[in-house]
Amino acid sequence: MESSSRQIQTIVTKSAARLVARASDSRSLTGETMAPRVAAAVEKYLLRNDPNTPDAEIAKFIDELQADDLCLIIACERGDESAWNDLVERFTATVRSAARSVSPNEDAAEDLAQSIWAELYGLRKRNDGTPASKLAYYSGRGSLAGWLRAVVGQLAVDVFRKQSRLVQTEEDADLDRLAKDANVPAGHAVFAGIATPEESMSNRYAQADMQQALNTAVQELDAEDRLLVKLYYFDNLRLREAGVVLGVHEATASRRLTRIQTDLRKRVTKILVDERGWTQAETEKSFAEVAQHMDTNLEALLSK
Amino acid sequence: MKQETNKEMDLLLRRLARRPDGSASNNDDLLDHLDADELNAYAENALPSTARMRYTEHLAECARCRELVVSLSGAAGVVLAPEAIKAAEPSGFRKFLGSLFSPMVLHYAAPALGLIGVAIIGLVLLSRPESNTDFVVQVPREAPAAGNAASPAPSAPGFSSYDNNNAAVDKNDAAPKQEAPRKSGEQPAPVPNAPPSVNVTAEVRQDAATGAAAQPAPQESPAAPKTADSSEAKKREEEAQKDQTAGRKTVVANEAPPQAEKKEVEISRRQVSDLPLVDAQKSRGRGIGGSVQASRPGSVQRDGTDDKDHNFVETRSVAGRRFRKEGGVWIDTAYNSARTTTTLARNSEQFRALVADEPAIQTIADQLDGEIVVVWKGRPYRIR
Repeated sequence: MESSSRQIQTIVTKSAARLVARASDSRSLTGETMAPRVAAAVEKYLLRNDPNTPDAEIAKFIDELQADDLCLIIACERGDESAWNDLVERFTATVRSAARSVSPNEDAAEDLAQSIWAELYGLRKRNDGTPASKLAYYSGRGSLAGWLRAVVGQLAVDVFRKQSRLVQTEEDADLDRLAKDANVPAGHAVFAGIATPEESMSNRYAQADMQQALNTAVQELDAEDRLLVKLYYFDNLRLREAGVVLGVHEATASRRLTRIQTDLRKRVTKILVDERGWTQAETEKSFAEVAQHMDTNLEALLSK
Repeated sequence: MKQETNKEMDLLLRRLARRPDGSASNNDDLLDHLDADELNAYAENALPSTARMRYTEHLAECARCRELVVSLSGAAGVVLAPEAIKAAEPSGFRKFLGSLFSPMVLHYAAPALGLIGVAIIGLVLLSRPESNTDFVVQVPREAPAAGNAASPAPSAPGFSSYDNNNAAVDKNDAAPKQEAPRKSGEQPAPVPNAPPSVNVTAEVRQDAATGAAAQPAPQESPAAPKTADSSEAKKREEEAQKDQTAGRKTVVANEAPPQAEKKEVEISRRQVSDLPLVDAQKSRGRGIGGSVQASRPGSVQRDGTDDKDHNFVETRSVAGRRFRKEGGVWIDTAYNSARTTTTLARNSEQFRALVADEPAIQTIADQLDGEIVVVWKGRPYRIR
């Protein structure tokens, strides 16, 4: 164990030296000064998942770090004023743009941007009195501009979260009302004639079973498939946007979604037949009925 | 159908997403959210695969982080190329078949398999005790000269020159032809290393399509009662004369059938006296010197000469078998062309195996030159 730690340390030191060498402006930093930040990144993104990560992979990981951005940030952390000036000069526009995109108005965006710089500079103090600078969380793995946008977004979420939730809740309520309407005898009667109370109750139980089975089936999807479902259905993203998050093309995302839908149907059918005692015919019928109701409800909503 | 199916699932999933109870949705408050560095690295696709998988799991459950990643991804402006559609992964068996029939394998395996197949077929054919490839012996005989318009039969596959020679001989043969259409009888079992003797009589029967058969039959075994068959021989002579006057072709070989039609000739017992002498050698314009045995009807062993005598047939007795030389082939008088004949080359493995078991055959092969048809233990062999 010790030998592997020393070995990793050796690799980190050598790779950090290489990183400094390839930076266009190393800002008088050396491999030794970079090594702790680099080691932390290796620990966070590689060794935490796999302690036995091969040396070559560690070296490759370090070689892919953003050398210039990392040198800039570390120089800022060390109090290098010129580095700070460079940081502000280069990234003020980025921070402002990010703040504007998540803020309801210009004033809020300006306030947000100022808060960001305060966070970065470490104006906040930790409990022990040490500056709490967010700069320490930058690993150099992604770009500095993207990291700054992420910082802005996180802060904005905290600040504006209540407002956005309120909006969603209202929209959900409309749809939920419609969904409930579909279950009551009157709503049901619009599509399938007047249902008896027994039929209505039976339908509600059937729909509940189906929703539960679908919920279970979604939870059983692998992480990427589940993320795609969440992005597309829960976050209402377009396939192109969902594909960007997943790092795939829109067409790929579309194919995956089609496959997921097919797999989910099979899984839901299996759950209903094996665990709830439904027959195949009942399952097929229920699929069609629930979908028909939803379809009509959406049309009714859109026509308002 | 699939579109309809997917539409149903699409609607069901939308409904699930709008449930207020949070099922299959989010557990924001319970999770440690991703920090800015992790969010940004994920959005820029700059994470190692194992770390990315871990964060994907979190994002699937955390709406807050998901929202941030979505906005960061849009801002990052990562350009994604369409993925090539991969064919469905074939099953293991299909992969195996695919590897068997890959061009590389076919390039080398197909010729190798072909060679192996040819070798196997060759071995099978060689190892068969009875071969069907041999032809049946034709013993063509022309009708007597007077009314006989027989002409030399062309060589047909399956017919040896023996037939042609006989045809030619028959053509020149003025002697009345002996016909003895008889069904093939049993051949006497030759005794290995027994003293040479005239043993088998044969008769020839012609295919009905070509007319009466007329052929010389090997001389009769001396053991056979001559007197009993003499009357029969006379009858045959009379028939031959009738044929002759009718001008019928009696030589089978003259009407050489196409390759597909083989006339079967049965050689059965026959009196030696029925057999005319045939000068096969002379018909080919060659003479035979030396001590050869010419058999005449009724003779047992007789040395003869090949000269102006057109009815001369060379015969020899070796290792208890009697052979007539016809068409350059020494033919065992007991030979029945109806039986399948095994063809052997003198230096072949099969021949060596045979003579290892039957040394007398080696003696025969040594003493008789050229091609030999010998009947040994009831089985005909053609030795080349």
